Amino acid sequence: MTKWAFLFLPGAFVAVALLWPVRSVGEDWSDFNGNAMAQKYSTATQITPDNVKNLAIAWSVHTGDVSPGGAGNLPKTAWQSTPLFVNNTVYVSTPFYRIFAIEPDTGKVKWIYAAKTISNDPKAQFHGKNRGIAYWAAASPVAGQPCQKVLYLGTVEGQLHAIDADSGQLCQGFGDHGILNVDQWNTINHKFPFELNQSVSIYKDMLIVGWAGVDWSWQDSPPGSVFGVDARTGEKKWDFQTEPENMRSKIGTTNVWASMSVDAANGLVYLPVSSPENNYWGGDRLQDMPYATSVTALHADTGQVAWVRQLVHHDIWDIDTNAAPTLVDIPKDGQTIPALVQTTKQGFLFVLNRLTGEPVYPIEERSVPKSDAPGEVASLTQPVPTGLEPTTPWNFPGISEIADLASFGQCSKDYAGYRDEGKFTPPSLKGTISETPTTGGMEWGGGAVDPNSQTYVVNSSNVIQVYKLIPRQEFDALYAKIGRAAGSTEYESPFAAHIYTFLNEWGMPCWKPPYGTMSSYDLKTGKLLWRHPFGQVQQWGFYMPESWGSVTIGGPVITKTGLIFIGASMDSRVRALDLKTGEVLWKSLVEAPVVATPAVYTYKGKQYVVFAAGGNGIVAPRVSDQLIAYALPN
Amino acid sequence: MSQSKRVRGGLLVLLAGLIGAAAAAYDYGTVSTGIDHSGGVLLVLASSLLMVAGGLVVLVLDSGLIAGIFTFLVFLDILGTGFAAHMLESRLIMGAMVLAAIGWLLRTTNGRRAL
Repeated sequence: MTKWAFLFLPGAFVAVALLWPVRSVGEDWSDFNGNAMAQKYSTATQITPDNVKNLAIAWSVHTGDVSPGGAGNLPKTAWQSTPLFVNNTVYVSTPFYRIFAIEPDTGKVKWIYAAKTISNDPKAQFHGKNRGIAYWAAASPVAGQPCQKVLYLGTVEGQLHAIDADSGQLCQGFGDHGILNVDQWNTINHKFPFELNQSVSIYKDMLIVGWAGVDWSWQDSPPGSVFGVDARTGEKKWDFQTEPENMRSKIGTTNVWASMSVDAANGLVYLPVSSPENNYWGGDRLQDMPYATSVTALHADTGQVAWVRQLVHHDIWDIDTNAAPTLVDIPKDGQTIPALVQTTKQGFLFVLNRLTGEPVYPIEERSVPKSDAPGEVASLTQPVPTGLEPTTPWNFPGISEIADLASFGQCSKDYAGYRDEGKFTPPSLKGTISETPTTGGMEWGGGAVDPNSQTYVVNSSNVIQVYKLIPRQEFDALYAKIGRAAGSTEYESPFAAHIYTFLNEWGMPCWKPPYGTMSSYDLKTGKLLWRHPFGQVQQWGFYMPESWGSVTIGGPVITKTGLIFIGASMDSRVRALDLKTGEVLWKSLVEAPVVATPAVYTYKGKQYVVFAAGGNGIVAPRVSDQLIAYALPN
Repeated sequence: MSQSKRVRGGLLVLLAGLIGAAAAAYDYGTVSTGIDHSGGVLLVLASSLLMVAGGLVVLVLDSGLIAGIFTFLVFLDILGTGFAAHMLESRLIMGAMVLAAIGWLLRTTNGRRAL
């Protein structure tokens, strides 16, 4: 009997192989951007272009962490948090600085961690904003010990909480009994605590921590810095200062508020560095600031600079580099180029060699208009990538006839009074039409890439704003009368600024649609594969034509089967698009605009797509606390 | 026969107005509709109730100048509410307006008198 048993072994192996739960890279969603390379790509294959129309709600959770704003309430919440799926659990953080651990197939809450913050006091500083959490796992876990798998949650007051991913308890060995006071390193011009809205980045046993702050308020706010921190203890290993030493006491921000990406194989971390204060007038910072509005690569072990590529010279438009660059290898001209794609608010896509910072597609130094603001010296040229077609037009798209008619010519009359010489027209005293708006262009969601076909997709808004400088004395008098409606204070600067979207008195955009698009590029050739209006504007409940598109915030994800999943539209809908054509194959209504990138995961053989439908008050007034997962019916 | 069709047509307009108003009230209060608490739904609620009122006036007066004017106003109301429902993507209200249009046609194409 036993001598024949070996004949059954191959069959047994096949049976085991078929029955064993298949797990491969991409079935988890272990990072805010899907993976450390910010690819937002899933290898899951169950949901396809053919069956996506059958998607149905698998589960939905309401966290209770939402505020509509208004009198008597906490400020309006902004829930921009991409859930993680790792450790067989869905984890999501909320604008009230809580983490929900959720069963991935049922939506049942396993545990909740609530960070005690000043935000719990309605009278205290509260921004109600959260963009997600990070997950770290020990490479050689010690059996029976807690905190071998850790979640990191930042708060508005600069506290970084380390929480055991299994139990939801603080990791006592990290910082002070589980909480690291990152704000202790906020030592120059402490105008506000470091806000840790964005998830930290992970490299080996290192956390890489950037921070956000209160923009547009003080010229001399805290200067930019990034920290390398031990994942187990919270000990600071290195710090990186983004400003020249002699400027740190007078010029603020230049910080890294968006997520970062990591090339673990080459030991590099990529920082999207924002613009300095004053955001719209730079007469007090004419000195060269090479890291301002740049993508900067650091050696993740030491914090030393590997290379820097400045994307805007002497930024006076608040064009913060605002998304983690996407890392992808591109076969081109017989070589494989280790590349990154950096999206920007002005609708540009910079494709760089991620080891050297050199352009994969050319970057041209283009002459741009001079400033007429007193004391300002705008850069004579700006870097413009010429490979991939920008997502937004260089020049004003023209006055919307409907908005102009509805306002009895207000739009054209106002336009005639502004300065407009295309992208990079400097802010002015009379008001400048800005085709490089503070709101973007492309925002913190960035794009997604299929690393097999090198197809890159990204959603982008077409928004026109007006940038008006106001002399200090005039502004202060106005501020005393009407408060914040006067504009951005930019204290300690001779100029404040009034930044507003170019609308008529009915709130209609004065420029021609589309207001948002989705674009697809072949990174091997730089060719635009397709571009379509994306989403729908919704005003007073009415849905505007699809050809208008929608202002769009929140990133896309790509799956191996050729689908794009995305929320990111004013109309509170989530959609699946065909990667090949951009055609909308499926859509579903959720309770608020999804301004976070969705997550895709597979659990017990079933593929799920999960969206945090939270809204943020920028895209549309509606906010919610709904986390919703879709799957194919059994 | 045509008199009864006309009455039925008028009643259909009333019924459609009531359905439109009920659907708008539901849409206004239900988050999952995507148009809850919006000005557009309130507008449709108001126009549906006006349709009911206008339809009642026409049914009571049956004929004459006033009835004719109200017949025309009800027609405009059906068109406007239908278009608004289309923009709100509310199938129920759109369905109610199709019903109202059928009722209005039944009323106006049967007999010499106005709606």
